[in-house]
Amino acid sequence: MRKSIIAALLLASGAASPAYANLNVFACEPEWAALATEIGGDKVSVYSATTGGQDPHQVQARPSLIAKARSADISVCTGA
Amino acid sequence: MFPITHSATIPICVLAAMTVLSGGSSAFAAPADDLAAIREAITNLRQDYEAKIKDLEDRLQKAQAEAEAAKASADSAQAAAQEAQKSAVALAAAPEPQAPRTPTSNNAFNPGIAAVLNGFFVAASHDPSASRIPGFALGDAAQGPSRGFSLGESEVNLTANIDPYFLGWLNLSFGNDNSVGVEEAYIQTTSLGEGITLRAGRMFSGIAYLNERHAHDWSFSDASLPYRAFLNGQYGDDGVQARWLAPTSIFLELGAEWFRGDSFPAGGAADHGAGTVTAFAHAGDDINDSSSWLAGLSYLHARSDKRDTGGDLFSGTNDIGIASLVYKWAPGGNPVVQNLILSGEYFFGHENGLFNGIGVDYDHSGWYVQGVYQFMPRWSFGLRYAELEAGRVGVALMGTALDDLGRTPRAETALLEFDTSEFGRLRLQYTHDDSDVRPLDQVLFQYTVIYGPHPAHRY
Repeated sequence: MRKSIIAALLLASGAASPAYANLNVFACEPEWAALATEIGGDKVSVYSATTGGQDPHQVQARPSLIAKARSADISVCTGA
Repeated sequence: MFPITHSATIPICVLAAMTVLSGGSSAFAAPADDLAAIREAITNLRQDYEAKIKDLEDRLQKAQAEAEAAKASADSAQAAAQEAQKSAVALAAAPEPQAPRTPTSNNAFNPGIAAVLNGFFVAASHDPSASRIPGFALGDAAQGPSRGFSLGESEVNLTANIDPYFLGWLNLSFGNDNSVGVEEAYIQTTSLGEGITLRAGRMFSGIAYLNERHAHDWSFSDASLPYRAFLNGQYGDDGVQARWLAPTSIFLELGAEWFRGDSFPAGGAADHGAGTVTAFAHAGDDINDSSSWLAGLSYLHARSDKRDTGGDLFSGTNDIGIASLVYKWAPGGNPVVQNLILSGEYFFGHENGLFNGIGVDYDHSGWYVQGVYQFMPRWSFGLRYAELEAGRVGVALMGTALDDLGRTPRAETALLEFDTSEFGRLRLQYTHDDSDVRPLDQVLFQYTVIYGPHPAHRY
């Protein structure tokens, strides 16, 4: 599953032409956000739902988090 | 392919030249015997060479045929590869199928089963079940737990993703009196897309801030005065709900509901069992990494047909508007060590109809503010203040539940909470309730434990 997500991310970011807006990536953890930024470069807008200072299990569905999840083109998550 | 042709062609040319040369040698003069012998030798040689050439030509033809066959199969393989590449690109371009929103881990056991256990010990200056809120006709669940030891509401939740389109949620509650109630039982869409979610069945309404949360998820052990007076603690009914999450950068959610109208503030399932409608809007965002807010506006319109509140019958309409504001703070967004939750809600109600056959048309209102501060891991401290303003009714209703006795009902609550873990909680809560003529002082001990899978933590 994880591999397929990353593969889809690669394809989608590669296929994105300049006419389109950046691909919105919703990463549950900062590790996935870093990876998505590394792969997508300037073709992706990456949002990390959590920071390194948070316990990912205790994170609440904050309003901003729900809004970002709504507008995401792809989610990269583990353990959510 | 080319190397094969070359290596086969060159020997043939050489052999042909040799053949010509050997043929030409017969022109030289020689003795007849010798000549015959030479001719025979040459004939043999020629036959030998011709056989060899024939053999080589056969092999060449065979090699060429094989090469053609190899090329054909290579071409078809290439075509297949191109075809596969095309479909892979099409697959990548296709929209990503929406995953069900409930974490699949809940289905480790299918359905996911969770239980909530709750217990109280209450010490009070007098029997809380006998105290009223003057000026308000109360539903049957508006009062808190009774004196002494009591089992609070125990709950069992069963939830699962039924298929890619529906989620099912069943919540059974076991009351103190051994009665079993269906608190919630609904199906919900999971994959409509465009931010739309539909729900049907029995559910807690999405109005206000706390209404949709189960009692064990509240910050205090009981509901505040406005919730008790306006919504009988919590408003839930049978019906349908639609929600739409706007594609905006800040959180914006709009919702509407249509209910049977069989529970307080409605009653009697007026309008052939479709008498209550609601609408609500929620908006919120982050202020910075540590703090965020959520605001809400809700409206409920209920029609009652002989609603029975402790023997009082009301027929007519009830309109309630609710404004909510919540602020949360946690250093670095991590609520585990320290966090603060401030919230407040304002309720406004208008009732119009016949109360025990006497015409009524009045406004009432109420509000509360509360703060809960977790000052160190596991330990929280909370304060709450609530107040109500009853409507003025005519002399004909003096002495009834709607007579406010000239009072402004109010209550102050303090809370100390210790969490053994995320799943276990002990509370000590003190309330001074100045609603009735005789003030009520109440100390409440509560334990709550939750076991089994739970959905994402609510805001």
